[in-house]
Amino acid sequence: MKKKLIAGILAGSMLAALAGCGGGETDPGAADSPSGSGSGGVIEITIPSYKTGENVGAVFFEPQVERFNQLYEGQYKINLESVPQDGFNDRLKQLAQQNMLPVLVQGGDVDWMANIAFPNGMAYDLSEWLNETPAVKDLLLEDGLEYCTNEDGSIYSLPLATVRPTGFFYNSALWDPQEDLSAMSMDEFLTALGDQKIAFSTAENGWVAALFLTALIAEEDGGVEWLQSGVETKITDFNTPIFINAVARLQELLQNNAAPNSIGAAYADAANSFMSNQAALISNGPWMSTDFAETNSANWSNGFNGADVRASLFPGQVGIANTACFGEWWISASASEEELELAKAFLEFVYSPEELEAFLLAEGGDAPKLEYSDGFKAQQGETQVLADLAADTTEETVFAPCILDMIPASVANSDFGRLLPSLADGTYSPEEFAQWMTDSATAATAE
Amino acid sequence: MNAIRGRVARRPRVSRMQRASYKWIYLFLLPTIVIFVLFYAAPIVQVFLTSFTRWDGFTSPEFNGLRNYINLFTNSAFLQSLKNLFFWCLVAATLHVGFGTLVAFVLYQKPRGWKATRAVFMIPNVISAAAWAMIYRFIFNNDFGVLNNIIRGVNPGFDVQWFYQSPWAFWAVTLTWLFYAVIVTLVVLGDLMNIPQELGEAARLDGATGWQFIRYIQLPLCRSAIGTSVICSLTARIAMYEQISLTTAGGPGNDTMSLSILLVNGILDYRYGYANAVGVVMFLIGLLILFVVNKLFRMDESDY
Amino acid sequence: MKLKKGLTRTFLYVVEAFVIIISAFPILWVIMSAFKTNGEILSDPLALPSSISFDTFAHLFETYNFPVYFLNSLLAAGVSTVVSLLFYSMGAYVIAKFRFPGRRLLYILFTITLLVPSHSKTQPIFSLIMHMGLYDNIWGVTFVYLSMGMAMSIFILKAGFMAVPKTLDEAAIVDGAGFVRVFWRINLPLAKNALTTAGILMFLNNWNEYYFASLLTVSDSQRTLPIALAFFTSEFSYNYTQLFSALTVVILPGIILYALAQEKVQASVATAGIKG
Repeated sequence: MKKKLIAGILAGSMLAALAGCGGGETDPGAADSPSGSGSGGVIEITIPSYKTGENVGAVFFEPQVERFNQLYEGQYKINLESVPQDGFNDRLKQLAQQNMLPVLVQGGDVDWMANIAFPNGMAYDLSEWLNETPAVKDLLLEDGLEYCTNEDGSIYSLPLATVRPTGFFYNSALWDPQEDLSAMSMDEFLTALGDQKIAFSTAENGWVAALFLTALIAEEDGGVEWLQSGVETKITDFNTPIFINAVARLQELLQNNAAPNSIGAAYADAANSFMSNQAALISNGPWMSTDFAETNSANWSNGFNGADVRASLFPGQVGIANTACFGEWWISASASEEELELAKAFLEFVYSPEELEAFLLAEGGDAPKLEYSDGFKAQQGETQVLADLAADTTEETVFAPCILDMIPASVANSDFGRLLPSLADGTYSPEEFAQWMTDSATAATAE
Repeated sequence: MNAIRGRVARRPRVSRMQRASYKWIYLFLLPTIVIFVLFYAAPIVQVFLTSFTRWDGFTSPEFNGLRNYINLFTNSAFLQSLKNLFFWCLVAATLHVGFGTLVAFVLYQKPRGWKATRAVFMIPNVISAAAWAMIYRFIFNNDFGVLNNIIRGVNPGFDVQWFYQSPWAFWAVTLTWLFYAVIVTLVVLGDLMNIPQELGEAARLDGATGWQFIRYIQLPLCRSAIGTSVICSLTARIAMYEQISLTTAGGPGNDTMSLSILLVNGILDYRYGYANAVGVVMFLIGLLILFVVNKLFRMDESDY
Repeated sequence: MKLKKGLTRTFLYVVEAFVIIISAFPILWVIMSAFKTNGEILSDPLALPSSISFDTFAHLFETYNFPVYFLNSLLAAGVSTVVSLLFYSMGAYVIAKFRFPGRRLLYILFTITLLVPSHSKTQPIFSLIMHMGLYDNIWGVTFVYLSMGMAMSIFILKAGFMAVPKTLDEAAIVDGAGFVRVFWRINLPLAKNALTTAGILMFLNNWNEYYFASLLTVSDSQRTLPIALAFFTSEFSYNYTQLFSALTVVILPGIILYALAQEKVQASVATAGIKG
């Protein structure tokens, strides 16, 4: 009898809850929907973000939103809702289909934005606002602005003002070449490296290995152009000497210089092998600099000291960065007038010189069109690795987009990493690897 | 033996209950039908229809005939996935279900600690597939993994990257689920416990040995449970995703490719029509398995 | 004879030991690793931790609202299991015991739900939950969980009801019992093993479900345990200590709950059967 009662109560309460929530009351879900509240004069929105909590991006982003809220206290307020990075893009797609995108949208899947979200009118056109706001427009990277501007002149994604070229980090306690590594050629660099170990990740999408491969490709004649050709249409033909030669050198490195445990290493394994003195070198973005700060020392082991880490761009002055890309933010087309006001204020805030400088100090990079303040230059020197990268980033720097962004998504996420172990153990020759990539890309784009 | 079998022979179906009003029958089915319509009907129809189209998942689909299927059947990764699925199903239907059934029979004897064993066996199912995959990456790691360190105790020169070298990867992925057959054990154990006590006594009077009793009475009476187990474990092989994507991701090469990975890759490339064609193939294979197992294990027939 | 019996016993214990080792070892290893530093995990994964520190756990509990997540998980998995167990046993019962037009078709339809890839369900389910106004609401997640495990439960329950002798049904009808009474008082109690099995499997499945829970909720107050775990397994996390601590916090309640519930569930079903 007892069981019957419990089941009855549960079923009843459930139905009641369903009815209650379906009955048009303001349910908790509405907080997320584009509904600015005008009460009390404060315009308030809530946006989902993965740059919160434990995420590496949170270190800078959460306080930034806080600063915005303080600056506009009593006028605007942005609330963040933390969602896991895993599945964030999926959620955006679903919200978009229900016409419930947040007012400010933090990125999303590139293919989805380019082919679905923007062409289908989900985004607010920023071109007019940009023309009225030269303070922001003048800072934007030209490549980016060009890429984001559509044929009819509309601009949906706010182009970036900063470029954060990815190079590599090295542990000067293990290897201290005392030379400008980015000025060397790749051959000189590898000779100087000797038998020092490089941390590679070959599992997941093979991110760390892909970065090094990009640098190797960029060193080949015509390599940068070959990579850039993927901006317009994804690369599907890999049977070119550029790619094959680069892969051959990667294979050698994987066989001779890879840190122990590189085969099948996920990003976490590669990072850990660098931070435990098992490898002298790791390729990664400047945001990794926070891992080498003293506050992170609990994660170091085996005598590793973050202060020993130096950074450099790749030989041949190659920095991995795609400047022809969407920016981080766009505004939902369904935002109300008030919400638009807030969103524009936020974007202007994020692109203000102070905030851009703060961002560069925290996560590294360069804002080519920004006149730096003296205070900034002094502070930049304090974080050794960021200063190293800043010193290497000059007019001569060659920007090459990462290969993973230039090939079909499924090849980048699955096929590339899947064959890296076989390349490393010699089961596949570079030519066979190129053929494999070509076959995979062809299958992935077959109509 | 015949005497015993006679006692469990099927009785003719009685129809007194049949006359109970249809009203109640359909009323009882209603909640399940509603759930089916709400959650499953639309996806099933959509998967089938759009598998014949070019579709980015948002704009309206364009009919393109059998194009997606032709692309699939000329893709070596797809053919390898089918082959892998076949072998995984073979292993699942024999070793996996066999092991689960064995454990069920062992626990049925109620040896000391059988309840604890049953509870502990459940633990792997309390852990999410993602966490399992991570644990297994550590166990099979060449340098500091548990397995290789044990093997090196006997054979110091041993050096195998389980998840990343042919032909080991296939078996490494298999090992991540092979022995975790607690569902089989629970289902079979449930059926075993339903066997009337009198049958055991009758058998003993007839002089049946323990093995004969298992072979001629218990196993046949558990066939529906074993059939259910086979279906569940085979369909789980079709749907298996995390165990692969978080360990080998289908590699090295295509060694551990699966239909589920192809499906997700299709979605990554915004080729929903193609992805759904993979879904249809998965669906049809599942249907075939359901049909064959149902017939093989005569699952529609009652023994009592 | 005695030797043979001894051999059989030994065999039983060997199987038991094997099952316990393969099932318990990984989880013990996870818990142990939660107390080791990153370096210790990497350099010697089998060694015991050098010191026991609860700092990481303290940090987790300060930063995250685990009791809320636990309750949400319990609510979503528990309510959906109880309700769907009732629904599916009603469906499985009539399919197992009666002939009626459409029986075969319905059984096939219910069965093939097992074969629908979850990626194909994403869009329809998201839109359904939106229209019901249950987005970012744990009841929405609970509602979706009702549909999970339909095929498997119906298999198990149908087999369970088929094992209930029809003579008992007939006897009850002779005694004047109606349709519902025969189901509730005779069949349900006697199919307790199937009910327990199906219930446990559905509960654990829902307890671990990540995809829909993460898709359909945003607020901290609606979060379930598997979502909390996802914050630690994001792309660029390399802190194994924190990861294993989070795993421990997420996994242990499930195990404890299961250990407690197993006896209780079986006992209560058993007594219900006697009373019935």
